Amino acid sequence: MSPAFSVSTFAQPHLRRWRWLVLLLVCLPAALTRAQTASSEEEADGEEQFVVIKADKVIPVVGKEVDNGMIIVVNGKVRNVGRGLEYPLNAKVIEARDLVVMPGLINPRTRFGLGTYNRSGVHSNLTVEPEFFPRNDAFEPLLDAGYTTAGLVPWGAGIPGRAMVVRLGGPTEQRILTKTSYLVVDPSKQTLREGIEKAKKEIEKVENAQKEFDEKQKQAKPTSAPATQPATSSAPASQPAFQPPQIDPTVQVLVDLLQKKEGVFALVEVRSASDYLHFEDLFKQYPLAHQYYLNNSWQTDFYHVAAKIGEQKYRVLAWPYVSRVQSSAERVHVVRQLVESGAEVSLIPINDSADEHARMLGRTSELVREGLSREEALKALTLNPARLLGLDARLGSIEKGKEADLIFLTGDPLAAGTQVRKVMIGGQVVHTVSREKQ
Amino acid sequence: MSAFGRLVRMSAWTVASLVTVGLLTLTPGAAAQPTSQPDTPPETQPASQPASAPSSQPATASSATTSAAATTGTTTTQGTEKKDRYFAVVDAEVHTVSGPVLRDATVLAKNGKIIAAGRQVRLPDECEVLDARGMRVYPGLVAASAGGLHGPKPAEDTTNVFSLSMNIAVAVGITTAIAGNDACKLTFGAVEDMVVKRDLFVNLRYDNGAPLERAQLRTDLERVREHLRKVRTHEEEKKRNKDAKPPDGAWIKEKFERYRKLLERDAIALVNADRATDVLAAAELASEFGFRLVVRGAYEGWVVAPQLARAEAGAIITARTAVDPDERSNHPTGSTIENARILAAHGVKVAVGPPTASIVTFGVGGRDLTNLNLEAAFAVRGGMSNEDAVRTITIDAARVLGIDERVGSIEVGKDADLIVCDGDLLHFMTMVHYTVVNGRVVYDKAKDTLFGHIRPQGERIVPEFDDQWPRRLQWRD
Repeated sequence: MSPAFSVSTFAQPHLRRWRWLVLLLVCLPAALTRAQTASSEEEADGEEQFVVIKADKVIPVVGKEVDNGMIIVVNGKVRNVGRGLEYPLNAKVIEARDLVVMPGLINPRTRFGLGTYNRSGVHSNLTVEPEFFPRNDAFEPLLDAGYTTAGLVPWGAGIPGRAMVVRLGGPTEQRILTKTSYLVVDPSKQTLREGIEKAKKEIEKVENAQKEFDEKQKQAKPTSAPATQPATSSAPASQPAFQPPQIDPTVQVLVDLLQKKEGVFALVEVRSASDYLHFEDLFKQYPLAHQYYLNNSWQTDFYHVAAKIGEQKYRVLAWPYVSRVQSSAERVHVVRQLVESGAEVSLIPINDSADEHARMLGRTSELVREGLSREEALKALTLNPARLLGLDARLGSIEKGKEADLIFLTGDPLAAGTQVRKVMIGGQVVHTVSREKQ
Repeated sequence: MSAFGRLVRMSAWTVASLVTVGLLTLTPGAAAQPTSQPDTPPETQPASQPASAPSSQPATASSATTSAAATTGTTTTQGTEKKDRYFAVVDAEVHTVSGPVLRDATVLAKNGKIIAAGRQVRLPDECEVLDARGMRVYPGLVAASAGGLHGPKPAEDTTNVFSLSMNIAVAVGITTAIAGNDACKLTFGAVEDMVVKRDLFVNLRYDNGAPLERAQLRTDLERVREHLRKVRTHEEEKKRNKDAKPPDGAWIKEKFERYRKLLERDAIALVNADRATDVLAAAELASEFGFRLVVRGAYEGWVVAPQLARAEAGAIITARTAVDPDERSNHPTGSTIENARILAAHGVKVAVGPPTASIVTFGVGGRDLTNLNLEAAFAVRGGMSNEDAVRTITIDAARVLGIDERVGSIEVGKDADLIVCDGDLLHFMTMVHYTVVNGRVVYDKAKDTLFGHIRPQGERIVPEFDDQWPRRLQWRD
């Protein structure tokens, strides 16, 4: 590399002509590495944090499971999944050759860690933000159970408000993923109907005010007098813009849904097959974007409508039961019926207790034993909830570009006795399950 | 070498080295080599998603696909164009109740309404056909005395359409029932077209146990009647004098509005009265003020049957109520098995109901809606004819509730509410094999778990009546 070397060696006359070639060859590696770093635009400081996970088995949920698999994580996002991958020397390697790695579980509708209060009625504008304080240990039981993301919902009967999607670990400033997600609707057709009627009145109110304003504008023009002021405007000499009257905030989201605004849908809880039919009847009358949360408890009659739900290709939340036909001991696998008819099922714990979250993998394995396909079951815990929440570009499976929210299990997720050993969120191991709990 | 030559050589090497460097940077290297931006994750969507947006966009994608799902839902259920829905029951003995018995007949319904009933009915191409060979078709039973089948008001929003009560009720042939103060269909498995008529009755209290209410009711009715007289007088006056002032009607709201409807015969009054004195009082009130009356209970109605008939009243009774007569009285008292016959003979519209007006699955059996056809059979015991007894649970029950233009008999234009059973409706062995509500089969005995195992179809061992009341000549096929 040093010009001195080349000069001294190639000072000899018969080698003189080769000095440029040697110079070139010596400078080539430096030039190449410079080029490499020059084309990188990732980090401001030019550094990429590589984390490499070496596992006994990697279950990406989308695609084939990889034995002796490796996951390359760069800056908290998955870069590659495979076997025998290359990685830079400065990568942090996590040896997990006795563990199975899969995406973190997602609970899209829960109130874990939050309190109760007295509220009922239609409050579509409310969110969980005022009650969310991500203390370091608040969600630890969920992390123990393998959950990395949760959709927190407001409390109250009727239409309590909108869900908020949060990460259950990692740096507090990165915890909130979506501040306002779906609208929570309780299984009361009358409350929803009343809310929709009220929202329609608000829309009419705005339309009437708009019409009045337009009328006034039309009348004002021929007389060439200064435009009369609309009701709520206080603009001076220039043409005042139309100030629409304030829409009642409690039905604002219902107004958005009626006006088919993007990015929001109603998640309607239904307790029986009849409830589903009732809400479908209501949505025929007032089309709104909606999905369903089925309370298919241990005794259920949802088998009456499972095929219909599947035909409509709904995304449903369901409980992980193999249920019994009401008033009988005859068993019916409603979750399997839903999946096989085409619905996209997400499984959630039957209540908000830590125990039920811990039992989820066990209950899911029972569904698989009774005939649900393994791939669909694993998707129902990970990818489908991500899709329901609109976050499937970031979460739900181990694929290039998605967040590295992973859980490390002591065995196959659907095998008996499997426990969660480590939880990784955003490429950092945020939780290790203590030995006593195992 | 010349200076020029040296210059050429140097520039050649420079160019060559730059080209080599350039080529090496642009070719894809090892896994550790970074690219400038991450690729979008592969699209994972259900295979047959219609108007699909790629799932790589976060918040908007799910709503786009959910609105696609929602709109898919609406469009598939409504259909691209409204198609007529045809349903037919073929080759049966059709008891129309309001007309003759049609043998080997077909009943054809379009969109839930009967459009033809007879022997030579041509079926359209796309028609759901129910073969009822060897069986009888009756109109769906109307339960004028019922409860627990539908949810609270508004029933079309609160009813559990898969409830065990409704399942049993359609299994025994009931297709329309009173729910609170509304008449609702038993649309098992669907929520459309449930309510037949709302606010059937105006409840009046006019029995001896409430003298204040009695007095108040008389006063109020007289007041409203006086107002209506003034309105009629004013209308007459208006023809002569345009400036005549109309009588003040602002006080006519709530209960007075109900009484006004009553006196103008737009509503029906319902009075709970059992004893002869109470029934008589209600009948006389109805005669005096000229409103439509239905008396519920009326186990002593037979005593004052002529007065009830004069008031053109209806009665909802239990034919087999047994109440001892009052020994102290020198008027006829107590119940009688002939109650239904006597009332019907005088021209009172009789609707029969069970002692317990709901479906009961525990306790002492046989007192609930499960055997509505046998409640009517008890009327036959008291001397009523078979045909009249069938009317008490079909067309007359519909008349009492005021819904007879829609249900109660098999006539063109009425709703397609039918039951297909394997014998005479009043026979205890008869079972319902199919129940049709609004042109849809809501109960199929062979497929349902309730009674499917009892005398499956094909084992028709229900004997024909070899006796009829009243006795008359019959021809047999």
